[in-house]
Amino acid sequence: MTCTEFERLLDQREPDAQTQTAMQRHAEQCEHCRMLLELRALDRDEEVPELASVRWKAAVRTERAKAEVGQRRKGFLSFRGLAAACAALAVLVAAFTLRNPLTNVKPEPAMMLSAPVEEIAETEEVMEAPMPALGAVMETPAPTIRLAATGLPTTGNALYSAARKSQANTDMALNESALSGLYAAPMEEAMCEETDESPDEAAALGSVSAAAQDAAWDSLPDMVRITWSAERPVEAARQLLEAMALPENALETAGGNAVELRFGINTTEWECFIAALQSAGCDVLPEYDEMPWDESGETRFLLQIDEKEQIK
Amino acid sequence: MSLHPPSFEELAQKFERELYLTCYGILGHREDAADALQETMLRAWRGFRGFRGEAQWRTWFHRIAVNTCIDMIRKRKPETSLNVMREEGFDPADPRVNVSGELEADERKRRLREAIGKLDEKDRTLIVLRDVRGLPYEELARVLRLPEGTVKSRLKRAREKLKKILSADAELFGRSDVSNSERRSKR
Repeated sequence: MTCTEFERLLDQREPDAQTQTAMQRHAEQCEHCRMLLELRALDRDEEVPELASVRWKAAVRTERAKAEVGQRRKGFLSFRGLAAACAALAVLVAAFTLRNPLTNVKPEPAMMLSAPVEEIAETEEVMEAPMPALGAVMETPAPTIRLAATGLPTTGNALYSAARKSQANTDMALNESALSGLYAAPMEEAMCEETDESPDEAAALGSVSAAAQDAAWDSLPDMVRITWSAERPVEAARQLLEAMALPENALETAGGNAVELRFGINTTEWECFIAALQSAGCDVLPEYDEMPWDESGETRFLLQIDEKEQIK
Repeated sequence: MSLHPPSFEELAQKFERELYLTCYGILGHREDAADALQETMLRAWRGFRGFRGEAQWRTWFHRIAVNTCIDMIRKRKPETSLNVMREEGFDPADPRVNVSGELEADERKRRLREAIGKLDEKDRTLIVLRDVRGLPYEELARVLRLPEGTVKSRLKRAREKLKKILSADAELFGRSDVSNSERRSKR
């Protein structure tokens, strides 16, 4: 047996008895191979100390927890951008509404969005002016918000079960027929005081740009799709969002009248998000007062904003 | 075979012993090996999401472990290291000690480790990964990012150095002061 053969046999997991004897005989005569044999046997009885095992697992758990907290913070920063976008959107809708030739009626200064957008995103009491009575006759078009879930985790929420069922055979592409009626919300009036600000100026308010540029956008799994049924507001909304300096990969125009955004959200952020939508004059179903899925689950949902039919 | 990709915990658990022993082999102390194992796992966890499958998991984990150990060795001060070793019970080989049977086997292991510890970090890493842990040459080359031929030639030199160190311990390791190559050259 040569030393090369010996080394090759040493790599065999379980050499047969005959081979072992031959190797042993060779090792007795060859110091080099005896050393290799002893080196290979050096760790045979060694085990990982239990404490070492516990230590690295605890360290990884801690690291994971830290990373999750960091991810949520990033998500929150991203959300602030979106919330501010919604608030700014209200200004845009208001501006559009006041110039709408179909209505040509100057609204009452009921819902004045006077706060800067970052305040709107962070405070619960956004509207200082009294809200108009529910069910009042609408004279101007205002957005209706519908939420529809896709790929939701299992939940007891009947609405979401229905949504999941209705969406079972659809892709992320917006399916109007499947969604309509599921979350049709009653409308509140959304009247805004006429403002001298252009939509772009409104979009530039507050910390919108800084928040929206957060790098976290790129890594977040969730998606919001904002859709308007009428052509002009969609285009205006798209311009608004683009003017807010959102990263290109966060803003995905899905074609037609849809705008998609990606962001992550947790319970607290969800509440702020809904509040921001409400402050933007969108009506939200009571079911969405609380985030309707497990925070840890990866969820996609659609946020659909339709222009309300005019009430004659 | 499971269809879903392995979780970090599954992989880490699978390679835990191997990595610990690699660290122990390179660092020579159980405490240091435990520290290195923890650091290795943390580094692996941080890099886990970015892992694109260019290497096998085993190779990837070993590469991290080796780098961690080398970092730790470089951070150590040599004189401190020796003091710490003595405090931890390190006793330089005493050829007058008469040992036999199991005690001799344990003593041989201890002195083998000690001899490995006297090699420089590169030689030590080669000896530990190839001769102690039994990594195939091909995988060893991937872990160290060296050509296989370079690995073989460096390993040969490292083995010669180890033999020379061991040869000083005549009682336990016999007349090994004459290496194979030297013997060949005498012929």
